[in-house]
Amino acid sequence: MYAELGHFALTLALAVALVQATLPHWGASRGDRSLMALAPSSALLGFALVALSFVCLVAGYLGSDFSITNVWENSHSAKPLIYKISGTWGNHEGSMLLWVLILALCAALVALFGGNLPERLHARVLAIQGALSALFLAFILFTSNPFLRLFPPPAEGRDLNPVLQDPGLAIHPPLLYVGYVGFSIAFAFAVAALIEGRIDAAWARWVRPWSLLSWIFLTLGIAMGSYWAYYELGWGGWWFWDPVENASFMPWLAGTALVHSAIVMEKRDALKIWTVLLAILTFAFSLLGTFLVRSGVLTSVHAFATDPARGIFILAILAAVVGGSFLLFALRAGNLRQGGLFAPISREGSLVFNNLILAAAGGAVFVGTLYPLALEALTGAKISVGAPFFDMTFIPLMIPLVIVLPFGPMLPWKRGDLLGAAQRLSAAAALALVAALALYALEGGSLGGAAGIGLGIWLIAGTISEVVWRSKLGKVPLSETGRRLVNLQRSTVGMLLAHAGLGVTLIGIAAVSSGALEKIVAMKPGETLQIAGRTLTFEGMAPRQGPNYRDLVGHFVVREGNRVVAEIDPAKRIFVASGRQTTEAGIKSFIDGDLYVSLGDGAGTNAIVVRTYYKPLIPLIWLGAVVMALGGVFSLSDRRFRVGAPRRAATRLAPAE
Amino acid sequence: MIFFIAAAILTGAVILFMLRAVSAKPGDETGQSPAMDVYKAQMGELDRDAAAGLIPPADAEAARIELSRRLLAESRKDGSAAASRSSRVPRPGIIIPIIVLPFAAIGLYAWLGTPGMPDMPLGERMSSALQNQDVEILMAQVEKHLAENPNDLRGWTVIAPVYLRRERYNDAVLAFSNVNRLGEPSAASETGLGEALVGAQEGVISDEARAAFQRALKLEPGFIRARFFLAIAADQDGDREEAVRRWKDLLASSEEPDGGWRRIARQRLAALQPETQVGPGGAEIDAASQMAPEDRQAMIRSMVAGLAERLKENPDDQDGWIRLIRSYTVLGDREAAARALGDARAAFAGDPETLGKIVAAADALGVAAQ
Amino acid sequence: MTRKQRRLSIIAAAGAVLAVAAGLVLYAFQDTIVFFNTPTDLAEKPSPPGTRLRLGGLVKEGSVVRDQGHEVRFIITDTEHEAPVVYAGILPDLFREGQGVVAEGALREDGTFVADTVLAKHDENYMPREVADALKEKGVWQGGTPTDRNAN
Repeated sequence: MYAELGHFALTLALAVALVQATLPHWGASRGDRSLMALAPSSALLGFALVALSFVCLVAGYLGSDFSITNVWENSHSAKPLIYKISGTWGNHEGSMLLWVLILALCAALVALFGGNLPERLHARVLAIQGALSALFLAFILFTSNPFLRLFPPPAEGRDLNPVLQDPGLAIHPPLLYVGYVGFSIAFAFAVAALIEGRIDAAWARWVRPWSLLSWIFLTLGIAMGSYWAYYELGWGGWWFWDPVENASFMPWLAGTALVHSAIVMEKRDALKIWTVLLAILTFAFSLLGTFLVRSGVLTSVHAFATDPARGIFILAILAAVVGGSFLLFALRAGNLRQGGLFAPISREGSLVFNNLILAAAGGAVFVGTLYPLALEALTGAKISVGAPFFDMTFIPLMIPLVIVLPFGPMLPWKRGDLLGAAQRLSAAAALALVAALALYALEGGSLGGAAGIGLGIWLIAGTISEVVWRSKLGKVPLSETGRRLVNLQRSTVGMLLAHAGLGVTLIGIAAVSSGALEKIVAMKPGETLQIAGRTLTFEGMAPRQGPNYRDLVGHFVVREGNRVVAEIDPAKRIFVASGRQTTEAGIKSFIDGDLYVSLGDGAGTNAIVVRTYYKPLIPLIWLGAVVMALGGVFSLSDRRFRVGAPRRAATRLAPAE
Repeated sequence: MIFFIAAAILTGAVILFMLRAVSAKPGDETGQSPAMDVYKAQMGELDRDAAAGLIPPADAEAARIELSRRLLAESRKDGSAAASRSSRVPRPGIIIPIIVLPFAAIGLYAWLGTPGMPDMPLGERMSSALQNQDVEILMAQVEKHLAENPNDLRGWTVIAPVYLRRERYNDAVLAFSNVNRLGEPSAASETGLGEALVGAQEGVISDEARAAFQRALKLEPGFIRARFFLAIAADQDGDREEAVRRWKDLLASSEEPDGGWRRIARQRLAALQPETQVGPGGAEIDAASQMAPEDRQAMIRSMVAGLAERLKENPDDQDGWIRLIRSYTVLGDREAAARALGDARAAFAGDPETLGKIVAAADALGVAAQ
Repeated sequence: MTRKQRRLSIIAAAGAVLAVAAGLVLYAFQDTIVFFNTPTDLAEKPSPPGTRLRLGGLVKEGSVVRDQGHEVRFIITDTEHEAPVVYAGILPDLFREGQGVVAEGALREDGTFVADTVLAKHDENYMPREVADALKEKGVWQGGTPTDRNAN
């Protein structure tokens, strides 16, 4: 029953989404309050229905119900429980259902917590979210239906792609999707504000925390994807500038800009139009990412042309949503009142600079990602735009941003004192410069690597200078400094953490880009290998049986001098159901970096090709991302965010839920 | 049944929930806008920051003035906004879509879904496979059993014909071989092996298959299926006399029940024998076989030209194109074959799947487009 | 500064950043774009030796020869033409005879393609995108429907 009930719940959800998309709009323009009150109810209802549908699909996976085509195509009865569950979103149809589930969840959250919003704005925001839900529900039902049935059901499923059977990829899509889709809230608010023709500080108070929440998830999702690529693909790369990665990176850049410009808008009532534009742009990038990944256009332009139903449908959604909102923006943006004057050298000015750079960087990534597709569609020529392109465009754009970044928080609003800020940052600058020069002189390596590490140190030291300045360390008694530190606002702590996190990531990137070592040799049991001051001894190979795979495990012992410091067990994994092979790298983190061992092909009797990499400081890349996300969490936990506009006691707009 | 009840309850609940939402009496609207609250909260925050010494007094004063200015502006704006128009939308305009749309969803589901189809989780199927005649599961169970006991004759005997019926020919070849290896071969098992081999070769009767049929006839001389396939084999070899003899022989064994083979035997006989032929197709072929070689070539050419002509008018014929390319190759006209492939490419430019099949067939013949 | 001057200064800054970004993009396009070729493309209009390009097709059955070191020689074919490839390094997991592959590198004077990268990142059908397209056009490969690489 659950298979069919899930399917039926999905069609009902479409009906409810259509109600949610239309009637509250009508109510808002007619001022009919009972009609506007329909918005939160239908949003909650829609979420309940989509959730029911999703649970039904998960139940199908758990029970290995191969009469559901989607389950048959992507599951196997011998799969471990966690991958039975994650298999639900490890495929096109299921992942779209997850996408809509999160979309509906966002609407439900706005319905639940939006009681303090102006009634009309609340109704309109929910109606726009309803329209988005309706579009994507229709997309699922008509082109990507996960509930299609199969009779007679086969006895065994075709199994999930082995590279997806991994804990990292089990949680990567939900994280990323919460990030992507979370920006739909900011988008809905932007469009609603354009329709209403007014935008005020309450708007920014709403948009900022929800955007920040999405940004946290997107940051973690991207970091998780990068970490997965690092340990699963077997050669230690952590970022490929692959279109799928860029698809998640573009909304991150735009979202980062949005989180910053929303501050200006909230605090200073300036940059209104720009913030609205960014909110639209961020979600447009999210949709573009969904289009790129989901339409098949990346897998093959050719396949897109021969089986166009999905691609065309989602392209139409993209065109309608993005085109419609930009059109609305063009027509209505002029109505929004501008306010808040500021000088170029000021907190606002630095945030504008941040936004400009991030937008330009996003544009460069956009061009690099779409140009090959456009060229192939227009001329048929196949080109690849790879890492060199992005290195040449993205990095030069980021350098000024990083240099300017520590100045921003030092500058007051409206009008700033550049000289004063520079004085306060002089220690940090000196430290970064000395560190970079020392590194270059002592360790050799590339100038770029040393400069990158210097920039990372600059960010972290700049953050510390900021703390010192705010706490007046050394200028007032220690107890006073302590009091000031304790009294630091959480949003300030969050900002400092996020900026320092970027510095940490930057150090990791610079170190691994310039200082990585690589040794590829054929080894026989008993042979040793020297890398980065350590000795690696190959002890031999042994088979190992997993739940639905067989491993051939190599055993390595790592010594520093004569002392055993670690054991590394990389494996080649063969999945029984599909016969496919994956490489399970063996990674050991030391204080100075990772030792990464993966097995290649056999080479003659008894010998096997062993790839060994030394990746200096590479864990810092993801650690920095986690610190950034933590900063977001701190900022979000700031009481002022949670309170938003205090709830009005007199009214309860939403009916009892 | 439970499903239909659950679906009905779900639909009803959805409609009621939405109707309740629109019929609830909304509270009175207060005049104050949330923006005021935001500004007031900001003011409090500013005071705290100033008190903590985080903001220089002068800056704090400037910010306070600006905030007050905005508060004032907001309160003025609010006064006018509070008196904004409000009118009630006619109730049917609300209630009709709320009721109609869920029913439309039922229609959509009836179109897309498989109403009432039960769940079939694997565990349940495993335990009740026999009662439900769940062939897939039964097969999987036998396969699992055979994987553990590869010398179980009974298991192979059971599964071999099933493989053959499901067109899993390679599995069937293995299974029938095992039956013959483990036990006493019978006419049926040898014929099964032969059929499986034929299937695996996509209809071509190899020497191996022929040997299997002949072994079957040795065991049981009158075995119809084996005789039937040997007749086809003779037909495929182009051994007309032998084929005619075998088909006639087959038709003569009237005591056997007709399994559909009788009709095929008659058709083949009609095609092979001029005196009993019926269709013009048979006549042409037969005429061709009686002609001098040059005349035959000429006639085949005209038939091929006819085919080419037909494809020009009606190019949407995958098999036709493959036949045409093959015919040209047989005639030794590789240039024409390549041209035909080129035409086919043009005809199926928008359908790479079919085109792929044609190109693959051409590849097998060693034809590449010009 | 007047309001107008402030606005102008912001617009000027924005213009400058955009101009720099556009310049970088255009400059990078000149240097970093790599064209995709099939062995047939190479046979019909060979690129000058030394130009970076990508070569895609199927690894010809029986063509893989491993030298003493880590140098591997194999032939990439699109069933119409063939191109010999030399690669020094470790081949990716999914490298198999008869499977799709994309090699990046340049042609040597003698017509051998010297690869410095052999691509490991495939979609779930283990077929690099360009190869799948090229082979589909030639009707050789009948791979599955487009599916997500990693469901992201």
